[in-house]
Amino acid sequence: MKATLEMINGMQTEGVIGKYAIAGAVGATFYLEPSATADIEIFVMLPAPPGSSLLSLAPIYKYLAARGCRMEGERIVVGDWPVQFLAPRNALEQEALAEAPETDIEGARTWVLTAEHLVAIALQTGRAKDHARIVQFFEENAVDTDKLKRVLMKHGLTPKWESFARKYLEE
Amino acid sequence: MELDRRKRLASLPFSEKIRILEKLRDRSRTIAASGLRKEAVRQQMRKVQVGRNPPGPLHTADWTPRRCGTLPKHARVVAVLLSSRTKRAGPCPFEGAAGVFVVEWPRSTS
Repeated sequence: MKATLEMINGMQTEGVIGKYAIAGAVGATFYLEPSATADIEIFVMLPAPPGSSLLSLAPIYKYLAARGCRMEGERIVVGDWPVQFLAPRNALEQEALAEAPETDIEGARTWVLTAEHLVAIALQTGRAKDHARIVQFFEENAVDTDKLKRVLMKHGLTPKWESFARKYLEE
Repeated sequence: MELDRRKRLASLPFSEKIRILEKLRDRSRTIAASGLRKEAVRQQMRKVQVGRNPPGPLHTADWTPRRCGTLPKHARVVAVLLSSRTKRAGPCPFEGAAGVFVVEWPRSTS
């Protein structure tokens, strides 16, 4: 993973991308037990090209392809990990990326979403595996509940949360 | 005991968790390459009757039922494949329709 992160950091240094942060199962593994995943999901801030307000992931793929990375479906294999680059698509994901704390993985500088943002995004996405992951966060006491509630309220997810908590967290 | 095991794994340094992630990823790849997963999905799909005439090859990607409730028993099933990235926020156009079952493509396997 170090090689993967170093390549992405190089892309950041050269201005192809702005801030990025690890999300998805790998991000969750930062706080929880490891769970099977085929790729690394990365939220990425994209600089708007001059004279255009359209954001595109194309510069990322161009940069990485020029360095020998190959496409694998919607992912691109960087080092030995397939990586899925995702531009934040709503205010919650933008906030999650902006507030992701810096950390160090195997000597490489990187950013990982907070546990509270991972939970909020999982709740918003709402697939069965997202629900299972939220339950894991609570079973392992990996979430600051007050902070989570603030995030959920800010992004209009409180009713969804109450319904989820009734169904899965109350025994 | 299971919870203890999970807590122990959760408390490992991230560098050690990465080693485990890599092993899990490689195992997944091996299974995917062997065709065992596709065969399992194919067998599941055979159990679903789609009208009188069996369709052509069914897509064998993993998918998750959502939005329109559970699969109705003995009903004709129409699988409406929506892109989870583009259609997730929109209302389900077939809400309440008998026998319609909406599935989404996962954004990723993570």
